[in-house]
Parts: sequence; structure tokens; C-alpha cells
Amino acid sequence: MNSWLNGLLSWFLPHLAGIILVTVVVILSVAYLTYAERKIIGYMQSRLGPNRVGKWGLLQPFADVFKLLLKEIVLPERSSVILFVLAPILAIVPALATWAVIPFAPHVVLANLNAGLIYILALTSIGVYGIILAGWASNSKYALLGAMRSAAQIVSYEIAMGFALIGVVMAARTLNLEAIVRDQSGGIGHWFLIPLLPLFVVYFVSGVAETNRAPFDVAEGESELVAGFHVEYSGTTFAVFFLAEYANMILVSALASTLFLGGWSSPLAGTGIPLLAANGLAWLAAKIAVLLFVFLWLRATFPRYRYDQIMRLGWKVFIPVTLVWLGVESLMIVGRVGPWFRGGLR
Amino acid sequence: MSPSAWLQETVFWFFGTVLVLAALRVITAKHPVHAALFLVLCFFNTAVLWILSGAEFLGLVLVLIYVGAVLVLLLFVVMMLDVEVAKLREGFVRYAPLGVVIACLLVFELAYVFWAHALGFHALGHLPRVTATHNNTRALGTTLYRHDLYPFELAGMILLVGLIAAILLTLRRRPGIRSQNPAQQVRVRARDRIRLVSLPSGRRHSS
Amino acid sequence: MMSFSAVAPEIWIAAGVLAVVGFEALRSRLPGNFLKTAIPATALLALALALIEALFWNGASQGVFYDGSLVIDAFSRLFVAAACLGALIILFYSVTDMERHGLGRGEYHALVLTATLGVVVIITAANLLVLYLGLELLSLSLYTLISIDRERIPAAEAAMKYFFLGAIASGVLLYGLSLLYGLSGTLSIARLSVDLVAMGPGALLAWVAAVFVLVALAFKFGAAPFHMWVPDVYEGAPTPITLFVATLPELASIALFVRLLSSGLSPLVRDWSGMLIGIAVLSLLVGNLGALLQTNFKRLLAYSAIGHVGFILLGIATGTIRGEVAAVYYTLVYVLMTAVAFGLLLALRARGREIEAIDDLAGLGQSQPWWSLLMLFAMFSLAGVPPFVGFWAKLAVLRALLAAGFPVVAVFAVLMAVVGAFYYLRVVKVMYFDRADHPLVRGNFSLPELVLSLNGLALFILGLVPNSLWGLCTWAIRR
Repeated sequence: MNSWLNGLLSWFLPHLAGIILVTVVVILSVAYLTYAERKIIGYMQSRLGPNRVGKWGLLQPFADVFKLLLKEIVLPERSSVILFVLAPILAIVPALATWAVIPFAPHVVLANLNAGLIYILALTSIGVYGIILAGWASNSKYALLGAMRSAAQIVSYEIAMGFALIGVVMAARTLNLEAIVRDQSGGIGHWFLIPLLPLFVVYFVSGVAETNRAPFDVAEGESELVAGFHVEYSGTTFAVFFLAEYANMILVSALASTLFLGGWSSPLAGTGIPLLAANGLAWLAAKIAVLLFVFLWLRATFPRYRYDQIMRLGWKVFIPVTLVWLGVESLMIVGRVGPWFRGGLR
Repeated sequence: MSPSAWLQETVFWFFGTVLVLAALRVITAKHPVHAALFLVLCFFNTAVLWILSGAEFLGLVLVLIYVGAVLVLLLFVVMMLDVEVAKLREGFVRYAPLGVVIACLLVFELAYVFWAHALGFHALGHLPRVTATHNNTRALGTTLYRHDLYPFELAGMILLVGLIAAILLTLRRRPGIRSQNPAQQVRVRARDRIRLVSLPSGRRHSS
Repeated sequence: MMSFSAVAPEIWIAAGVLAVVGFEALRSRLPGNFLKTAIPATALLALALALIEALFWNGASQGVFYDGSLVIDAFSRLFVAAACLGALIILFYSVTDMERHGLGRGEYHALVLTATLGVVVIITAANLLVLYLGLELLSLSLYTLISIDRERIPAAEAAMKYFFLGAIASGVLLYGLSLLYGLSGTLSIARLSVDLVAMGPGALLAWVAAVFVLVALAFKFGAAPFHMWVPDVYEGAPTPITLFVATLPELASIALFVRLLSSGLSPLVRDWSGMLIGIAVLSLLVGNLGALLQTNFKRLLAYSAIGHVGFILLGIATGTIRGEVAAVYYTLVYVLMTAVAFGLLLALRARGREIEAIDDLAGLGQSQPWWSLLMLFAMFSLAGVPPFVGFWAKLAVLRALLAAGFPVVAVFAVLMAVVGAFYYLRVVKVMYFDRADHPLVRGNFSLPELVLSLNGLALFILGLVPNSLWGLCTWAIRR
């Protein structure tokens, strides 16, 4: 009996440890992403950003977290309480669970799924439930309107996103993320970014839209909807929504890095430069950081899109662009272009 | 029983139980939004069970299509409608006998199927167990694009018909709608809209 | 075996659909006059090319293709050609009419093509899954076509009725097919019959599956007691659509019976033969007695259709090769006759005579002598008056029945044919002997009307040489 339990635990505990480690790192990253956002946008607007709590304001995120945790959670009258509390959880869970299949370094991945890419698509498509439920359960017209906008927006952009991912699958001929990264290793010239540039742009912009970030943040739309779907949320529940949004940003950046920018593989691989030519987690982190910077940059630069313009962009621009490029890619595969499609048809 | 087998068993019973309970709640839930959410739970649990039996691709696609797309749209509609639950339940008593008859039939058929080995059902019963290295996705791809290519393309045609039908039956082009053409908007240059007129300056108006 | 030539008709039709949809998508950027000719021309061209491919399928493309998905045999060749020709002619008859009523947009042509594709797929199906997909393709196209004039309430009602009942029938069929799959572990129709033989007679589950399949097929064919949708659809749909619904799907239905019942379920012939006789007898009764009471011409033709389906099913029900040939022959003849009847309604409409009630035909013999003569041909042929081709079709079924040992049923069928003759002849009487003040109309023939005239004359000419078509059908069914 004891050995049986031991077997179970020795099978179970390493997995659990990995999960906890990834979760903690993601949450810490979220904390400092909020800090980075305020600093970077501050500098872009010739301000200093937070600089009071700790050296250079470095402890500011913790101050914010404690403030939110200590605040009261206000439950709106005649709201659907269970769903109201469930909504932020539904928003955060997919954002964290998706990390299971992302390869951090060669052979370092929590779950090496064969259908990893489908897993990602499936989980990211669930994130919308948090927003819809938040909007509906709040029993508030602003929240409901925000939720409706968000649902329509996410469903629309998911199609373009899916097509962009099909391009990656066609190039790598596998759904396994580890294999996709390995396919791109060997220097910057092997990245899928180059043959699939339009798909990368579509994927990244769709990612911005799916995370409801500026300039696609009509679901919050503070000028018309107060704060959109989370208008009734306060304290911890609000903090969880906040966490989910930023975790999703990091996730989209991580996925874009993995799928188009070679993940953990070094752009300088094959050049023989010591340290820089080595693959590893640092490269993945660097790529994620660059993409996150673009997220913030977009927010500081662009005014908010109007709702119908967002829908038009998704349906009438992105989907046709991806379809056309999938055709072009098929031709490249048949023609065995470059280092990416040397395998040809299999 | 090995630990991983025990875990599989536990996961199966847990998600199976939740699935059945959620399915029950789908039909008993008072509010249609709640019913739709229980349906989401159903699909999710079904997906887990499929993955457990080795069909990971299908399980994930179930979540992606049904949970991620179909039910979101369903919820979208249900939330917009103000469904009167009482009215929906009006016919319940009237149709209940028919429902009971159908339910009995189904139960009978199910029992029959379970007991049908003796009656020549030899396709059922031995689902092949897959090995860990078996690539589900590749197997499905081979089936769809090689063995069943023709039906697969036909299914595509059926979807096309659905698309045409939906557009034909619902699209209404109202005349006189004003909408902007973004391409035109982008192409506009200052000289198309603004005419600079040089007014002689420095002179006072004569009143 | 992969082969493009085996699916060449399908490919041409599908290409036509895509081209038409493409034209429609670019409607705002293309000149309207161009679209007005380009869309019908594309659809007609696609069907013509498919017809040519079907006629010239060479010996090399005989056999089973795409991992047992479709089969090209004599039956496929005859019926695919018939379906393409039928669709071509029907589309040719109705294009101007649809255009005039503002319904001739690309969607109409695309759906006619997809429906034809569905028919072709059913005809060549060698596999239960393909069969079902073909049926869905056809049915979905038909539901939409019927409600194409979406502002008209009767059309919407007819489409809803057809849709709900059709969906249930599809479900029933699918259930039956899934039982068959469960029994035999194969989707292939050819292997299915072998497996059923191996199972021996009296398997209860096989019998249940046969009942489900039979019910669904009877519904799709519009046989009593599953005929409720037929009159409403015939009356509610716009006349060009009725023309389509009344003809092409009949080819698909007979193909379903030939492929599924006479081939796949042939070992169960004792089980389904009796049921089919019952359905056929009921159809004869309902169709012919119901038609007596009708005042609306399209409803009359609907009930007559139910009656004719009864005759066709009698041929299948004999379970003999001869009966099958008779049923196939009857179906082809029936499609030819119905095309004339509804085509004439369109031709008369183009000349300002809207025919709704039977009384609207009054005085037609004086004002439109040529069209009246063709209508007389169609009615005599439908009634089974010799020497028109309809007579030979009825005769073939009756002889098959007698040969298979069903004398009582044959006598009953003759009785019902006599009842049927009464209402067809009533139409002729109204046309020629009821007076109405319509001036004599003369006008030039348009090309479709010329084809229609040939179609009408064919009823007479084929009646003089009945063996030609009969020979083709025998060739198609031989095993």
C-alpha cells in the first residue's frame, strides 16, 4: 500500500511542482508587466511613472495587489452570485493552463502534447466565458453591453487566428509545439516569421484583439461603457480579471514567439558566438519581452477603434489575407522554398 | 492497479459523474442561460473523457468548436432574448406522455444494444486501445484526406449550401444606408477637402 | 483508386457552383447586364459539361473509386446523364421566369447546381456515408429553394413543413444506417449485403434497420403515409421551383431505392417487400382519391405524383430484376411527363396566363392551341392512355407484378389508374370544352419553348417506340 502511494506521489509531485513554479513565475511577471506598462507609457508621454514605493517604484505592483486584496468585494444586488464569482476564475484559468504546452527550453515542457496547438486554441477559446459571464451576472447594462461586444469580437478574431495557426502547422507539419520550435532552430533565417510574415501580423493583431487590449478594448470602453464587463467588480475579483488580462498578454507574446520567432532557439545559432549562439529560456524570455513592449507601444500610440471597424478588420481584412497567404504558402511548400519548406509535401 | 491506472479510473468516474449531473441540470435548470452553461460543462467533461480514452485531438476539437464557438454564439443569443421560462414550460404536461414513451423506447434500445452481442453486433465491444506514441492527428488526417476524401469534400459542399442558404434567407439589403468606405477615407488628401483661398490682408473692411 | 475522370461530372457541377457564387460576391463591381447573362450561362455550361462527361465515361472509369465511396456502373451512367440532362432542361425552362420575378439571382443557380450535385452523388454512391451526405446536400438545397421567395407566406410555410419533416426523415434514415453499420461493421453497400446474407434470415435488428430505412426513403419519395409535405410544397413554391422539386429528386429517390434496398438490403427482401407493397397501395389510394378533390392545378399534380410514386414502388416491391427495371423505366418516364406539365405552366405564364386553379385552363384550347395540345399529351401520358409513353410504363409495372405473383395488387393498381384517368381527362375537358373569352394568342417561340415542345412531342414519339428507353433501363439494371 505504502509503495503504491509512493508510486502515485512520485508520479504526481514533480508535475505539481512544475505547475506551481510556472504559475508563480507568470503571476510575478504579470506584477512587473503592470509596472513596466506604467513606466514605459509614462516615458512615452514624458512622465516618470510610479516612483514612490521602493527604489524607482519597484514595489508599486505589490502595493497595488495588497490594496486590491484588502478592499471589499461588492456583490451587486440581484446579481447571479455564483456566476459572478465564477467569472473571474473562468477568465484566469485558461490563461494559466495554456502554459502547460509551451516549451521553455529544449526538452523543458510541462506536457509534450501531440496536439499541443489544438490544446492552445481550445483553451484560449474558453477565456471568453469569463467575460460573458461577468457581463451577464453583473445584472448591469454596461457590463452586458461590454460582454456582448467582447464575445462578438473574440469569436470573430478567433477565426483569423486559427487560420494563421494553420499556416504554422502547414510549415512545421506537426501540432506539437516542441517540434515546431525545433523546426525553426538554426538561426534567424529559419524562423517562420519570414515566409509567414502576413500570418504573423494577423496572429499578433488578433492576439491584441482577443486580449481586449488597446486599440481593441471596446469591451471596456470607459468613455461609453464606464468599464465594460468588469464595471461591477471590485477588490479581489477585479484583481483576478486584471491578472487574467495581463497573463493573456504574456501568453499571446509567448505563443507568437514560439510559433513564429523560434521560441527558445537562438537567432544567432550556427554562428558560433559563445553564449549568444546557445538555445535556452533566456531567448524565449527576450522575445516575449520585445512583443510585450509592442503591446504597450500600441496602447500608447493608437486611439481606440470603433466597434464596427473592429469587426470589419477581422472579417473583411484578416480572414481574406490569411486565406490568400495560405495559398501562397502551399505554393512555397510545393516549390520547396528556402530553409523552411525543404521537406516539401509529405 | 498501477498508480496511473488508478488515476485514470478516478478521473473517469469523477468527470463521468459530473457529466451526468450537468446533463441533468441542462434540462432542469430554470434559466436558459444556466442551462447553456451546464451544457458547456457537459461538453467539457465529455472532452475529458474522450481524451482519457486516447482521442486527444477529437476531445480538444470538441472544446474548440462547441465550447469555444457554438455555445458562445448560443449564449450570445440567449442573453439577448428575454426568454419567459414559464411559457416554455407550458406544454410540458401535454407532451410529457409522449416524452415518457420515447424515453422508454430509448432505454429499451440501449438495453438491447448492451445485450446485443448475442444478436450479431460484432462491430461493438472491442475498441482498440492506442499506444502512447500513436499519433491521433495523423490518423485522422489520413482518414479524412485519403480514405474518406470524397465524403469529406461533400461535407464541404454541404457547408457551402448552408452558407448560401443562410445568406439567401436572411440578408436584406436596405437601400439608402450610409456607410463609409475606409479605402476611400484613407485615400483622401488635404487638397480634396480644403481649398486655400488667399485673402488680401492688411486692409480694413469698408462698412 | 483515385481518379478525376470518375468524378468529372461532380467536379464540373461544383466548379459551376463556385463560379456562380464568385460572380454573386462581385455583384457590386461587375456590370448588371453582364451578370444577368453570365450567371445563367455559367450554370448551364457547368451542367452541359457534366452531361458530356457522363455520356463519355469510358470503360476505363468503370468500377469503384475513392476507397469504395462511389461506383460507376451502367446505372450510374444512365442516371447521371439523365440527372444532368434533366437539370439542364429544367434550368433552361425556368431561367427567364425566375428572372422576371426577381428571383434569378446567383443563389438560385448555385442551389440548383448543388441540388443536382446531391442527386448525382446519391446515384453514384457506393457507401452509406456518401449516400447520406448526398441526400443532405440535395435536401438542404431543396429546403432553401422552396423558400427562395421569402416574402411569400405559403412558400415559407411549405419550406418549414418540408424542412421539419425532412429533418426528422433524415434522422430516421441515419438511425437506420447506423444500425446497419453496427450490424455489419462496414459502410460499403456491396459488403453490407454480403454480411447480411452471412447473418441469415430473421435477425430482428436488421429488420428494425430496414423499417427505419424504408420509412425515411418513403418520406423522401413522398409516398403515403409520409406524403403530407407534397401538396403544400407543390402549391407553395414558385412554379419553376416546383418544376425542379417534382422532377430531379425523383431520380434521386429511385436511386436510393435501387442502391440501398435492391442492392444493399437485398437479403432482407422478404422483410421489406411486404411493407413496400403496403406503402405503395396506400400511395395509390391517397394519391388518386386525393387528386379527385383538388381544384388547384399544382395540388392536383402533387396528388398525382403520390399516385405515381405508388406505381414506382410497386415495381421495386416485387423484388425482381424485372420489377426494378420497370420502376426505373417508370421514373424516367414520369420525370419526362412532369417536366412537360410544369414547363407548360411556365410557358403559359410567360404569355400572360397564370394557371392556379384548374378552371383557369378553360378555353385554352381556343386561345393557345399548340400549348393545349402539349398539355393534352402530358395529361394522356400521365393517365396512361395508349400509345403515349406513360401507358407503357404502367404496363411494365403491371407485368412485373403479375410475373412476381401479385395479381390482386395488380388489379388494384389498374383500378386506381382508372380513377386517375378521370381527373386527368377532366383537365383536358376543361381545356377544350369549357368556354372562356380569351383571344387567340400567337407569338414566336423562344428557344426554351422549342425545347419544351420537343419534350412534349417526345411523350408521343417514345410511346411509339417504347423499347428504346426500356432497353436502356434493362442495360442499366443488369447485374
